Amino acid sequence: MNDHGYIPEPHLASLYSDALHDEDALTPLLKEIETVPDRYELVECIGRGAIKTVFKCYDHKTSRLIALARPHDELDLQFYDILIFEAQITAQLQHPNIIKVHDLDVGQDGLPFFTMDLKSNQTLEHFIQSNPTTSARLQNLIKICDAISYAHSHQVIHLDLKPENIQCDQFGEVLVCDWGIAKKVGSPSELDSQPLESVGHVTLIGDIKGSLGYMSPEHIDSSLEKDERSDIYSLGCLLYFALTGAPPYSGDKATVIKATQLSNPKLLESNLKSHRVPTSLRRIVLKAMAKEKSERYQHVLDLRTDLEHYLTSTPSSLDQADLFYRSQLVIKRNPKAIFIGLIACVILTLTSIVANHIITQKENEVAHQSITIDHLHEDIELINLDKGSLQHFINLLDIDLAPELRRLTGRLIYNLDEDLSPRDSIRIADVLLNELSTKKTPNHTFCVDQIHLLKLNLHDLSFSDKIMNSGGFPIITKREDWFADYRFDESNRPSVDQLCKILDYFLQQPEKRPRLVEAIIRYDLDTRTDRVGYNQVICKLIQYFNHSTPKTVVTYTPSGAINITSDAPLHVTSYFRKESILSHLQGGSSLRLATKGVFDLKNLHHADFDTLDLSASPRLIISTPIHLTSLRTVYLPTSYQRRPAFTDNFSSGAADQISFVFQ
Amino acid sequence: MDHTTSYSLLEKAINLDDNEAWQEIISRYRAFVCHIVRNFNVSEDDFEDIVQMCMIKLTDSIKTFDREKGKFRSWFSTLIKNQCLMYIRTRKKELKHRNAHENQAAVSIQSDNNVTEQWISSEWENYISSIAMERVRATYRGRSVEVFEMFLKGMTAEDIINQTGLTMHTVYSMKARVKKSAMTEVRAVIRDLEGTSLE
Repeated sequence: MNDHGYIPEPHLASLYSDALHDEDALTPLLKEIETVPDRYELVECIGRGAIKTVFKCYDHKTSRLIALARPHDELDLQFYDILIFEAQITAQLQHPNIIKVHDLDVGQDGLPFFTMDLKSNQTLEHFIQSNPTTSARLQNLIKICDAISYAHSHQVIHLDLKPENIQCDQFGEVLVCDWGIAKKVGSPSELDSQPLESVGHVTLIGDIKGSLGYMSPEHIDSSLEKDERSDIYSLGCLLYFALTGAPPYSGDKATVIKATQLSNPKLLESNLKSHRVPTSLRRIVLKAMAKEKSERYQHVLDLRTDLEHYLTSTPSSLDQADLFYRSQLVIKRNPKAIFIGLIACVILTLTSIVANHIITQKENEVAHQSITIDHLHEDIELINLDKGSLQHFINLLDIDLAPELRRLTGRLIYNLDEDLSPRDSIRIADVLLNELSTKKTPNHTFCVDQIHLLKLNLHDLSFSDKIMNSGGFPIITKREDWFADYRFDESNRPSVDQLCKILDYFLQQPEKRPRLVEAIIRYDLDTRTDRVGYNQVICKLIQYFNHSTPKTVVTYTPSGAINITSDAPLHVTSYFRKESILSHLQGGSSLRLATKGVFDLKNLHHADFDTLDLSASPRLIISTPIHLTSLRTVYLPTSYQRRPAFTDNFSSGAADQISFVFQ
Repeated sequence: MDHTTSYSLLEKAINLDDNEAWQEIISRYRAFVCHIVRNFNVSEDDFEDIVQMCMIKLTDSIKTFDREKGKFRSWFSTLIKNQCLMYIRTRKKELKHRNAHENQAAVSIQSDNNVTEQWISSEWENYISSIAMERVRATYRGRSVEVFEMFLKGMTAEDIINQTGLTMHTVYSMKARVKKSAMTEVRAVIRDLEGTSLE
């Protein structure tokens, strides 16, 4: 390669001038067809008609095999134009079902020839012999109708329709061939001036131009006018042939001609029947082959339409379409759908029967179960009733139990049960109160419970904020600040002074609650371990018990001397208890009790004094014997001096002999 | 190809002012001009100058070249030759003048009398054929082009059959096919580079 990228190649030098001047090299095919010496090369003879022989031949220009028709070698010159006329009239008909003519020319031997499609040698006859389905037969007939209908639309009638002139290949192509005696309607055919003779199915030169057995009556009689309906007659014959495999009339020439002229429809129908041709098709054949032209189909398309109707199982123009017949056609049109429908119906019916049976069975079971369920319902109702009653009863019990519990709680709070210590009473009351909280009691009783709770706390002298804010307890609500620091409980007790403060407070209240106050003190006594100076508390309590007697005075000295004076009967216990508070007095030196009322000395039972001065109490009684732990001396009014039974009831834990002083 | 509606490369370059087409044409012309100028025995500097002059003259003139008055290749050959000779003459004068002054060696540039317009013209044809064959070679696979070129080189069919082992029918068929392609391509290249109507 040189520095410019171009290396001369001397052997290519000629290409330039060749390209400009050697055009043959550019168009070798053109050269080839230009130089074809003899275009059509005959290969073999494939058919022979009345005036022409048809050859298979090779077209050197189009490079294919075609059919070439030319007059018989021995044919008279006068018939040459017939062949030319056939080529020309066929060439004018451009239809998929009409044979195509490609070329018409005169050979080097001076004989005219024309070329056309080369198809297989299979004709309608071969096709019918292959035993196709009725549908396939009719499909081909429809194609023939199409071709003829097209030709008629160009005013051309074929006049020589017969199975041999219909080519049918295996791919379904149908071609109408051999338009040798065709004519333009209303104008004389080339052949009309020529004598044609037909022998058997071969169209030959003679009197009759056409093929016997497929010719219409008017065709046989040359005096009669032939028109499109002549072709329709032939189409009817072709249909007859397609359905039965034989021409409508057979036999020798005279027989066929006679039969054609007679045109006996009954004979035809009976033949068709014997070949099991359906009624609809029989009607179509007979109409197409009617003797009188006016009774035939007037147009090929009408015939075609009826064939189409038969294929699509719809009523043709000839069918008397009653409901039964239409139904038959519907079934024929949709056999699969009808079959599936029928199967579906059968399945549906069977399913219904089985389902019905199952349903009945189930219904019985359901009815049976329904009865059982009814019974069960009744039982449940009864149980519910019982349950309701039970619940009602429980509720009633609860409701009934609540007041009882409440009453018991109250009783315990006030420590009225002699068999229990105040401490136990309060504990049990607390438990009961908790139990009460679980009962479904009316709302108003809640207040009662709250009061009980307050009282329980009061026993402890514990004034929690919660209780004080409840506002349910008038004693402490207004002076809560007095005792705000009182947070006592069972183990942590207030001092004597703190107790005295409480008692002073109660004393100042206009409304007296001796039972409550006594319960508080008794509880305190029960829980307290240290009782030093407690006599002061007892004295305050006695003072509280006797609040209604203004002249009752209780004095207490730190040395232990207690002086109680009262103008009225002295109360030393609450109204509901028998035990005297005096019994809790301890470690005292002396007790001077002066009351003008009756005083039972049993109230001093267990009191701890060495000296009892009862001299100022004139109305002493002693219902039960009493025992004082440290009693030594008893001062009694003189009126009791001679009453040994009275003094005998005294006993002491400190001295064998108590000294009674009467003054 | 529909030549009535499509433009040749030259038409695109000139009429449509297609820069890409123009660049391709210039590159083709330049390669050919280089090939021709190589045949004048000139120094490398002179070679470049001559090629440059030719190309300037060519691009100036081609737009006004009237194809009806003569063949492109004749006009083109004349143009190249004239430009070359003009340059050489000028250089000779220049060298002579310098030599007289500087007292130096003899003139080293000389014209080649063998370089005639006819020769350039035939070289152009050859050049066009080469471009066309380049395309043909790119189109075919197998031995078709090889067989065709054997024919071009003067081998007989028999020789080719013996050498390639191909049948007579194949060899002729290959030759016909490639020749047709080569003809078509040559015509296309002529159209592109000469802008000549072939009709």
